[in-house]
Amino acid sequence: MAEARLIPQHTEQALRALRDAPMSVPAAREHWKYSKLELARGAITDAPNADAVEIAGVPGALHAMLADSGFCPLTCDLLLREPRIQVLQLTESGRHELKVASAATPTVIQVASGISAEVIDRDQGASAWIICIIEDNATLNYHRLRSTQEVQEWSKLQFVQHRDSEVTLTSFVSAAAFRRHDVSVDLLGANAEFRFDGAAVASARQHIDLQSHVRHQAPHTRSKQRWHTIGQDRATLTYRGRIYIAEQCNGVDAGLTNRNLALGAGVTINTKPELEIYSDDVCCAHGATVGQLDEETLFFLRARGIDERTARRMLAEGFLRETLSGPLADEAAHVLTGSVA
Amino acid sequence: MSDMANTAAHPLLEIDDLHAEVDGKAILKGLSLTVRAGSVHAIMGPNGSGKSTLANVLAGKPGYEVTGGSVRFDGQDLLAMEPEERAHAGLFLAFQYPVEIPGVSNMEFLKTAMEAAAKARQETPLTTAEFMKKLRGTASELDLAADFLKRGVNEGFSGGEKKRNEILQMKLLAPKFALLDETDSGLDIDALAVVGNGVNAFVDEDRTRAVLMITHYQRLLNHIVPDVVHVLADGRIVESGDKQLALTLEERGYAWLKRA
Repeated sequence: MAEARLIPQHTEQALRALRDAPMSVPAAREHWKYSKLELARGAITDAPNADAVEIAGVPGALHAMLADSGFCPLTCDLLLREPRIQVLQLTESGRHELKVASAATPTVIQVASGISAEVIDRDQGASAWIICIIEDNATLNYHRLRSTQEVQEWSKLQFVQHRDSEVTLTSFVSAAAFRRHDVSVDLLGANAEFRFDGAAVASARQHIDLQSHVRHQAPHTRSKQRWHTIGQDRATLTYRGRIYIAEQCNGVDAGLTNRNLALGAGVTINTKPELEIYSDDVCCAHGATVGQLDEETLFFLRARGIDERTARRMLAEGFLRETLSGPLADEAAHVLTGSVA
Repeated sequence: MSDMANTAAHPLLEIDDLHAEVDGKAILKGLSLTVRAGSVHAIMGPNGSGKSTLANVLAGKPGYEVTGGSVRFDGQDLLAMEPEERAHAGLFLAFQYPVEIPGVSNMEFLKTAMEAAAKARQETPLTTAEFMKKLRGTASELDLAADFLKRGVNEGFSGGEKKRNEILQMKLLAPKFALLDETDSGLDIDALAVVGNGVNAFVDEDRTRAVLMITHYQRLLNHIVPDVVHVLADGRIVESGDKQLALTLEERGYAWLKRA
């Protein structure tokens, strides 16, 4: 972990791109299906000294997360002037266990050209704001697990990908009273690839909201996302998956799948895949389903002597397991399937 | 080989005047049938005669309402039991369309099913090593490659592989009674022979067992020779006979029976 001294020119461009295309955060009245801002306040005030936090000289910047315009403008200049921003420059391949110093200020992870890094991001206490910059031909495997239930969280995870870079993100989430995860991906260089596998389980009156926004801004970039959730009791699960393909980005291959299991009549599931495409020669697929356990399959298992409760559990676990991969898969299986009643 | 006249053997399945409906529509209209230990029965019949309904009612599938009659299985009231209790009592339904379960490995599924069976029989379940040995041995008898065990249940399996997987489950769970629902559908000739051998061995190994196979076509009966053939039409058994009856049906179709 090192302080930022020099950030290459194109990284600065990348950060400018973030500023110019900030991840959108819905306004208080934008849409009832997204996280209600009253709920989100807990996630914000739980952060240490939230009211006093300044990001890069912008007073009350964290509260800008709640504003219509999204994040405060972010530039290298600002980053370098602000010592509280943690900049993690990864120049050698290997695994890094991430510790976010402050829930309120962004942590910037820069993966140097040509290296292959792995980041493990376990529960960070509360909210976290992480910006990953993946240089040309670099690989980042980012694995996130959220298992504590006593928190309120609104986390942002942003990837800025340059030419021939690869990112694999896994995110396994056990719900809390309030969790909102924003994932933003900018595929800026040709042939960059982003893959995401994730799963979540929410029970009682828990709330999970995932907003993913993948912007293809160069030709022959690829993205593939899978997000499986299970809701029980009176839980709410919301997903918005947005894929944007800019002009002159032929050869893009993008796909997203969101599948949701509602185990109980009191569960609310909102899902909204969105495509915005300005190039002709692209391949783009999306799909979202909301359903219950398949009765035929349940009967098949019972006809093999497996009692109904065990059969339901097996099917729910199998549904989650389809997305479980990476080094946290076993731990995630334990956490997530443990919370399926 | 036993036959209809062998009334000394233990009656494993006794269906008496069974009436059942689906979505308020009567499908089985007074079906009676007794299958004794050591025998292989076949039920043939045209589409819509109630063949699959019979299989589903016997296995306890939700959505099938029994409106009259009784079914005794090995002396117990079958209709009062949950599907898993029927399995524990020794009834095995080989599905016409085995379901695919992505995310649940075949191995995990088989282990859970065998543990449930052992628990129901009040036996100590196999250790993982014993289970694996048994599983590998049985799978190779059925020409199932090792990777079938690691994949999701029936996930991406061909029709033949799915049916072989059903026979694998049957061999591992060692039921008393196998109910084969259109097991020949989707099978090529090689798979048909493997499945046929599996079913023949099932009864030959243990004469306290029995088989009831439900089929539209005669070709499965070239591989599994029945002791008794029944013809089901409009929810009732309208004709019973020996294996010759199947050949007659193949030759003449079902139309002459309906007129009878």
